Amino acid sequence: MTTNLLDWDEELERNPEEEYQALLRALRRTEGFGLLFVECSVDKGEQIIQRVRQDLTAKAIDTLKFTEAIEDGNVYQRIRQTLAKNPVNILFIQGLEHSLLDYEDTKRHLGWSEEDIQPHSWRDVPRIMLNLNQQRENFRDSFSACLVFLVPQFVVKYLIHRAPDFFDWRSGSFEFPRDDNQLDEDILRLCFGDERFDANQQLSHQQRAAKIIELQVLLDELRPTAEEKTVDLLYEQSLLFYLQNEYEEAVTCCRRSLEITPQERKVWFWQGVLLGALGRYEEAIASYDKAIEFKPDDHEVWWGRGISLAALGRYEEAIASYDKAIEFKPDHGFAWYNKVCCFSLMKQFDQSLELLEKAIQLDAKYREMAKTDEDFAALREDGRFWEIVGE
Amino acid sequence: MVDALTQIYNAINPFEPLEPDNPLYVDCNAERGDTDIILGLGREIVRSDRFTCQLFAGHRGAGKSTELLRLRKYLEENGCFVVYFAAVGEEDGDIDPQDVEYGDILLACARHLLEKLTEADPQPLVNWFRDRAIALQEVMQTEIKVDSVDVGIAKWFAQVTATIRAVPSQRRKIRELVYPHTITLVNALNEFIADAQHKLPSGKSKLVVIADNLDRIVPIVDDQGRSNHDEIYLDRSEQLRGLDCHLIYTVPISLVYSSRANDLKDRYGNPELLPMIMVQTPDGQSHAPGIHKMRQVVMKRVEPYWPNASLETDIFESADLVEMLCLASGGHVRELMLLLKEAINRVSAFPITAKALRRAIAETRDTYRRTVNRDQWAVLAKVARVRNIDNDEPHRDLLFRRCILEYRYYDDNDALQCWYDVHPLLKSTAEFKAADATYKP
Repeated sequence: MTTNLLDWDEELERNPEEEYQALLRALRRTEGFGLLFVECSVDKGEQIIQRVRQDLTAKAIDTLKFTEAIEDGNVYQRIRQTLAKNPVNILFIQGLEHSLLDYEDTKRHLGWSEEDIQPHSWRDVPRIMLNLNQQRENFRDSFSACLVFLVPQFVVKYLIHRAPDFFDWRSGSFEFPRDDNQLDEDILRLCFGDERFDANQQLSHQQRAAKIIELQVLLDELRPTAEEKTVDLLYEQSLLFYLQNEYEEAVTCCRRSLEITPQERKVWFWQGVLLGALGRYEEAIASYDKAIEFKPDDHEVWWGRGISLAALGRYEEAIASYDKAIEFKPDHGFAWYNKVCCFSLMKQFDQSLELLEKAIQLDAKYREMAKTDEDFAALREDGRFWEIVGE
Repeated sequence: MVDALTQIYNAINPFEPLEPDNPLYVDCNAERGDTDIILGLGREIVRSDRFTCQLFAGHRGAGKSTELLRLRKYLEENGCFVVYFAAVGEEDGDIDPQDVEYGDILLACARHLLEKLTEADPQPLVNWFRDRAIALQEVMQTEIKVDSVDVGIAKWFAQVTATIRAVPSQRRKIRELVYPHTITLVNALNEFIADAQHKLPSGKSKLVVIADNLDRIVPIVDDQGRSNHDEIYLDRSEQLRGLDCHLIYTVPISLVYSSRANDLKDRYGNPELLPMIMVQTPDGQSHAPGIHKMRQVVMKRVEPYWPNASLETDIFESADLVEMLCLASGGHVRELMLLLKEAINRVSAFPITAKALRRAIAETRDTYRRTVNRDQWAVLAKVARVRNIDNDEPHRDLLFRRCILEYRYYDDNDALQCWYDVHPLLKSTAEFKAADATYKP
């Protein structure tokens, strides 16, 4: 059988360093126009660009970073302007996802159901996708640079479905998955219980992929009235997607579940955790708020909400949220600790130090964490900091 | 000094359709079920006394444009004047592939005929346009001055198509103005064409319009399950077929599997279809002649920079890997190039190792895996078993995205056999295996 030649048993582990070297070779070798796609988080993208700049001094490199939606969707035009100003060999392009988030939002406002907004319903084409697909020959004919699109996973899905001709022209795609176990295992155990978490975590990548499909078959066969069962299967499926590093899919499961049963508090919480991990903090906060509606004294939700607020730089609101967590669970060490972070970032060192002592009293592990935590960079300049944590 | 590997890497280029007579071209027709568009589409035009309107379909990246350029050359050598244009994509493409109506295609034809047939008298089209000018002027907010004898009329058509394509807010208004008058537009075009027929360069007796890239019109299905493809090619076929010249439109492969496939056949005859190169037989055995073609495609790109290189030892570590690459491509030329590039990315020097090729295959497989919606795995499991497809939306969608591939061959009785298979890369995914295991006939 021919398929045997394409089927091998041992799993190919993705090695980030090998992946990076492959990207580097592609960049070094490409002469003139080329299209490369790198699937990674925003932070990871920054690191990759930094590293390529150091490793490839022979090539001129520039970055085009979109921080919001491209209003007219004309990516081609923006790239053209950038290259006209600075004709480089390699242009990194970041932030296409903003144009798509905006697109999904618009559809939501227009009253599309969640199913329709998801990339695989394909009722419509976002403008930037259209632009890429349509201008394909223009990219080839007007640019002599290698364009490297750094995008999160869900954008690749859009490209495959809505700009297939453009995506088809790539010379390579590279994947830098999120660091595994990005979320604290405790949170997962909290959300799913030890038994369920362990059972799914022990599976191999292949087994989890198969299980996702099995669950889907069950979901398709369930009667619409079997709401409770449906919601439970979706919850499990979203854990599997999370463990596969497919966060967007995991969020989709939550959304579908909440469409069926909006009062499911734990799903709102879990969805908030996922959205936070995706860096979609505002949506995460909205999700935590819904969880709070159903159970106002859930300290974990208040704590998670604080983290998303802090990530947006809304420190005072974050502190208020941590305070709520502490109100309902006075020995919530992380809430104390994260509160210290906020005060430190606001450069209110007196409060920081006072609270840090309190946190360390609750758990000595915060002493070690504080020594290396980015958030304390400024605080560590203060001599009193070292008195508290000790050398 | 650029090394051979870098040169070969850059020669494996998925961007450019090959011009006729390009030495890189490999004639694969025998392994595409003897699909020869020169014989199919070309001869029909050269022999026919009546005007023809033919469709040309195929998978994205299968080599349609390359084949059309060959066809164009053949037609030009056989007494035809060819107006070839890429309706979507080029610097001044005419059509927005997301939002297309048949009238857009008609206007694009008008524009390109006017641009290429400079000897003919444009008066009928000038008159037609002048009747719309005042209203258009208001919508497009530009001054439109059409003189009674305007040699620059083509540029006004170009401006209208450009506005329809690029300015969605004006698109609807322009269409409302123009499209009630498509019948008179077709009449005006035919008057213009009739005059052009007399003025064709010497040696040319037939006028052929080839509209390429229309296959890039993204399929959109409305709530009633009607697709824009059906609307354009079936409901409005009168107008699309109405020009008094020979017409060839490229269409996406999925259209051929429209639920209204019979209507399509009635209107256009059997569409010419460019299938995959057959690298495996319907019973799943490796098919040596097809593999050989794929090897040649690779060799042609390698030879200029590394004469006499051996694929089995110099370029790849072993013969198995060459076969693995060809099979993994599913007989699709652009896929072959992509896999090869991905593999070269993963080695610092030739030969390509088993690990590098597996990595490349895994990467590409992952992309395909994610294009399949969760509810489509069951469909794929069925296709892999029965080697046939239904004319319904899930199958069309999977064809459009190359998750299902079409193959053709002539059997021992000289009967053309069409068969279908799931993309070979998808078959080894856990999802496919899970669906296959639960498959119920």
